[in-house]
Amino acid sequence: MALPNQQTVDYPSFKLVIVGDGGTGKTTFVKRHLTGEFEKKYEPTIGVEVHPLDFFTNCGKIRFYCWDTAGQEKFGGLRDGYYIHGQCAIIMFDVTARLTYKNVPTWHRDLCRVCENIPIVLCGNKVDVKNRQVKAKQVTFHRKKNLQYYEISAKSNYNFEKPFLYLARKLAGDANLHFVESPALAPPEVQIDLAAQQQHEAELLAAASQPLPDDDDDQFE
Amino acid sequence: MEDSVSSSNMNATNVAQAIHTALDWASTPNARQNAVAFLDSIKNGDVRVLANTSFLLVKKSWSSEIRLHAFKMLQHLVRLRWEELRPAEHKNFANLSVDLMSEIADPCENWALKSQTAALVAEVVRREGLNLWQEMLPSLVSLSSKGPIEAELVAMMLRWLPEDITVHNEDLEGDRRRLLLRGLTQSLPEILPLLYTLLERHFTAAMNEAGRKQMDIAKQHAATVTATLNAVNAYAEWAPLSDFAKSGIIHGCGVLLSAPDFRLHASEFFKLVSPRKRPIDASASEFDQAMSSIFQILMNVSREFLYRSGSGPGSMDEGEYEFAEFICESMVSLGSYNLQSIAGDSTILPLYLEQMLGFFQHFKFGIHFQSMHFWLVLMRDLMSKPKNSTHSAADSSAVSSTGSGEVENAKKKTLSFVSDDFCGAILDTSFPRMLKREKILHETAISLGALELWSDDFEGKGTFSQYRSRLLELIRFVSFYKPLIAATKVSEKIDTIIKGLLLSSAPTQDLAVMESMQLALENVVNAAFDGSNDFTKANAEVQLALCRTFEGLLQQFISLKWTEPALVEVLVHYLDAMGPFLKYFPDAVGSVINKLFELLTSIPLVIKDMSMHNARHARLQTCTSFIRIAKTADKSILPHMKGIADTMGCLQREGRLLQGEHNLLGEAFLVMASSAGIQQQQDVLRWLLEPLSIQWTQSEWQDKYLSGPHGLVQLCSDAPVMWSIFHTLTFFERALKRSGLKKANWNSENSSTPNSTPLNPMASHISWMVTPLLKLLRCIHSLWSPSVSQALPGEVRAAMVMGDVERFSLLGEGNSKLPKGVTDGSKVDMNKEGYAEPNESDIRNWFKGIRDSGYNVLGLSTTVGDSFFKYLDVHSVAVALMENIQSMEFRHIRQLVHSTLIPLVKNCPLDMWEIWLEKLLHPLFVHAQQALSCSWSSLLQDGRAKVPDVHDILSGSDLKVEVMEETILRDLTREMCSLLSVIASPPLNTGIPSLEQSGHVSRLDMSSLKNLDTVASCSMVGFLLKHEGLALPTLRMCLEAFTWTDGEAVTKISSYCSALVVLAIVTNHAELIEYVSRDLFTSIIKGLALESNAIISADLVGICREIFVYLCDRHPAPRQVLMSLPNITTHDLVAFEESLTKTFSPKEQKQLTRSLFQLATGNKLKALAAQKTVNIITNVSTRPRPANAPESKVDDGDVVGLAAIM
Repeated sequence: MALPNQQTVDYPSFKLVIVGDGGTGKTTFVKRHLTGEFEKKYEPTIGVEVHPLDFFTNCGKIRFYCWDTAGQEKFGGLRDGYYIHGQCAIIMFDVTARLTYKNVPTWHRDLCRVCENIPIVLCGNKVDVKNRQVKAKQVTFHRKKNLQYYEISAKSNYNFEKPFLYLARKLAGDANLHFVESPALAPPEVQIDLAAQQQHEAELLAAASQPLPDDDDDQFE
Repeated sequence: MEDSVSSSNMNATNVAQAIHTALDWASTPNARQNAVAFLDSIKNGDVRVLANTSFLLVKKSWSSEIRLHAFKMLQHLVRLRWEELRPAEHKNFANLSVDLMSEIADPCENWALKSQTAALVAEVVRREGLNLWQEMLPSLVSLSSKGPIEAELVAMMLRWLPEDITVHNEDLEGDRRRLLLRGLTQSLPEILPLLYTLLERHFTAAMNEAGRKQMDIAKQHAATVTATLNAVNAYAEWAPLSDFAKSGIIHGCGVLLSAPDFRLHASEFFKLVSPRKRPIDASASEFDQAMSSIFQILMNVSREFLYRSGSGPGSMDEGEYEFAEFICESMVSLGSYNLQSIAGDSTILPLYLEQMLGFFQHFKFGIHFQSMHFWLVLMRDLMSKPKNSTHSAADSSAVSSTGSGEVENAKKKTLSFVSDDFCGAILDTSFPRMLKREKILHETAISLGALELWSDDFEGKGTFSQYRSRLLELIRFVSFYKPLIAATKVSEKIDTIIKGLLLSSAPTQDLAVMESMQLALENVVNAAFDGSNDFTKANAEVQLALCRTFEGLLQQFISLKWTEPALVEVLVHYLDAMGPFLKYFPDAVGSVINKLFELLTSIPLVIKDMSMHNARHARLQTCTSFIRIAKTADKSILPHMKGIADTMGCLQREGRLLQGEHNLLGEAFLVMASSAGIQQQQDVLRWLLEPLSIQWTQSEWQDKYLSGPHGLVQLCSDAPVMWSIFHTLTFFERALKRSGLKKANWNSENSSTPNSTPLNPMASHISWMVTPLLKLLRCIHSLWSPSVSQALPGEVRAAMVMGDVERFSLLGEGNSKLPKGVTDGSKVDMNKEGYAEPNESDIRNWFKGIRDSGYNVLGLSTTVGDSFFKYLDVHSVAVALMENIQSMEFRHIRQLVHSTLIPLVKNCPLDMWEIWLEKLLHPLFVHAQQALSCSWSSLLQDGRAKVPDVHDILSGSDLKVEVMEETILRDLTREMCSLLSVIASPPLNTGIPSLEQSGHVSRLDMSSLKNLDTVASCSMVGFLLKHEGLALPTLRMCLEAFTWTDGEAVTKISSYCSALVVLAIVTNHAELIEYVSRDLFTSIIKGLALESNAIISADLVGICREIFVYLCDRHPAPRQVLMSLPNITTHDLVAFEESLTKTFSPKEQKQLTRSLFQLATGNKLKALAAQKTVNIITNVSTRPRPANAPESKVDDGDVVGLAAIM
């Protein structure tokens, strides 16, 4: 659903809500997409920014209206109002801050009680930082809730496209949809250690074949 | 009253306006900020105003955003400000909330707001606790029977409540959490039947309304069913499984699996309950019954899916496959965690396994991938040894209830259903999936039909190599269990592929299929011939059939007439994979070897055309295959070694085998020979080395190239000879390493009778190798002499300069990227055959390779009995190694000492010392002592070591050059000190007695002192001292080492110093006593002033103690040295000596010595400062110095001026 009074486009568009604790990199992530940055409509001091991000797929062009919400207020604030009519979502946490992962269930709860049955991607950001506190194998929430999980690094552009591709496939109902043109991204600010990251992804996969832990908190004791 | 109502309405309007402003994207930042501030003031203001206003704003007359915010404010109030309300107000609030559920039940209502209403009621229950919940439950039950929307709201509430208690419970303290959970658990007998009733009622109603084309009403009922399923799933992880069975929910969800609109939600329930763990208490049997019924339900759905799917890929849409994947996931969980529920049922268990096989065989990758996990878990468990499995698929919790015997019985029963057909089907499915979609030809893809191979596009499934290694693991398990079936299947598959390739017009382009089966074959053969495989051992008939099958396959490999390099390489890998089979079937070894030689000779020899990389690679792979087969086939290959050696020699003489390849084959021989006895080793070495020795000992090339530096320069332009020499030398080195004694020869009684049989098979080969090698090394060494180097061609001279890789390693820049174009590898290219014109880099590599291997060959030769010392001319060795010692660079001297001289010193027979040691060590010690002294002096005074190695290096900053120089200097220093410590090592000095352990100052009887000659006969240190040419430079080096800031070098040389001290004590050698008592004692004390010697300070103090205790009565120097310390007095010295005589403990004496040193030097000995020692002797440190006491220094003209240095 397009914003009220927003200029409508003649190709499919979706409201994408991005939630997560403050400081997890939501704004940095959205701003990597240069076209979205250039076309940003307003910059309020609080609340939400809406970035229209365009992607080119084999089925044509699509647009995500990315609602980048402020993450500071935990409960009972204005935040949930922005969820209404959300068609897909990204929940972001910071792999270098344990608390941001522990709060993921709360974000998921609030989101799911406003948006019924929408596709959601869980993103662990800042995987370029060596001192990560949330190990890849400790991330299990997505398996319980049938979310898709990606490890990303906004500053290095690592896996930038994957969350959008997953959501586009779900919304289009086409598992074979793919991007035919890369979006223009800001140059990376850091270089990710790909060898180390592949190791983390391998740990993630190995953990996927293990039974789910009974209580997530045990992982961090 | 009217004023109050008006006030509330006014407030509500203001709040609504503020919400609108805050959420409006078009608002100005200032307006939004004001609105947010106002909303905060309401939220934090009067709690009753907040409640009243919010209840007004949740009415339908407001917009969705405003109503949503109002709900959020109400939830906030309940969670964080509930205590501010009175109990009566609590009750009223609760009633209003439940009433809201009735009011909001409207077909046009926004889902989000229905959800928030239910969440509000759940929050109130959470806050109020058990009493309210029990009161409210009947109301909810009656509300749910009013209509589909009311039922949906109740279902939502019944979903949010357990979620907020069991998942989102961070704000609940332990007691409240437990109470709420207990209340919820006690209500399960009412909640679960209610949920079942809602499912049944509204599913039926939805079907009926749809039948009557009343789609709007049907959708309402459908929404209720979905909401109820979501509610059921909120209990699925924690409520007792038997409760789900009793309430009919398991049955209800099973029915819904057949309804397209609800099956995904229903399958979620089964996904959550399938991995549930079996309880250990009395309810286990109920759990088993419930789980058994779940098995039945899921198996019915699976059967239907597999049946319809089997009729063709076009018969179902993507939604069906997605649903099937969910079902498969649940089936995998059931089998992995709860197979015991059906393990006792001989009817259901085989059907279940059959269905899991069907999933595994499915053409859809996602379904296949899910089921692979089950088969891996099952086979891994069934194949595991008793009591070793920690994760039992057959009976996950039987161990704790019935003992391990039951586990084994369950295993056997389950294993009996994994039949031959099952294993065959698993293999038939696994083999084609070893391919990746992107790698196969289009025609091959067509032949596979609908089969979905692995693709990089698949999300969340890892990498292809991870997937393939799992397939291989499964193949290995199946092969372990049914080796004959696996052998048959893999043979048939490979046979089919080979036939296809033979018919193909472009076989090298479709190699991916062939390559993929090599890994499978390797795993099958390894499993079948694993020594621990009981299934094979138990059945001789199976073993015979296995051999027949593999023999047939092997014959097929051998009969292939492939000559294309790419095909040869693949075929060689297949022959490698057969290695374990050859171990049990020696008859086939001969034909395999012949085939390898045939393949090797069928590939053209690469001489000029360097672009034929494929051919060269294939040849090397073939040679390497000999090594791998030699390792796996073990002793089976021994009878064929002579034939192989003959063929190798023949091929090399005909020019059809490169020497690098010959070396690879020779390495295979060394592997083979290591499993045989010494006689076989001697035979093998003779076969391999005699052809080399014939070439090596020819005088023609030696006269031409090794007569002097000029000849060597000529050699450097003759690439084939150059590299031939290199390969011969490196192969000889490897042979020595593989046949040498594992322990160093420390037997000092190493003289054997001339007629004794040599212990080492390499002994007889030393003589022919070493003589020309010495000439070669002499020529190389001479290149660095000034008179020769000036006349050398520029290319050779440039090759003598240190290479980039060596520089980087000295600077610690191991990861530095070499400049583009520099091919100077740190490891000599073993494939170098020298068919291109050698350049500077090649010559440098060759120099390095010859030096590395040459020094190693000499050093290793000394460990092969005493052949080296008996049959070689010491003069030629000394000339080759020492003639140009003064021109050698430090790094080369260091390498020579490390690789050749230290082994030589260790292994030289005692009766040969006189002949060998002085001639070799004298030039070394003289030069090294002078060179090190000069360089250290330069380093300590000028900051630069000025070593000869970097004279020609112009690039790099001055700082880098200095770092390299210092590193090189320290390396040589430490190596020389290592040599001295070896010379002083106990095995080489059995003639030196140990000192009295009591430590008591015992006046040795003068008549018991020995002559140095007597000791020198069995002490290498004594031997050195007896020869002035050896003694002087080493004794000088000892003194100077204590002035060099290298603690590691001092650590090494201290053992030599210790030996000198003992010799001085037990002999009557006046000059040695003078040296030790005065010069060495002084130098050691100076050395203790260097912080770099802190690590070795304890040993140094110990040496000083020995010098003083044992020699002060025989020579005045020890006392004179101490009295020359700046802070010592005669009284201190007397007190020290008295303390020494009062204790018998060497340890205490060392402490006394240490304390004296610190006192006498004013605590300026940095090596001692870092270590805190308890000063147990107080009368020394606390002795007051009388102010008017006369000084009574011993006035002696020979006093060493330590005070000036301090």
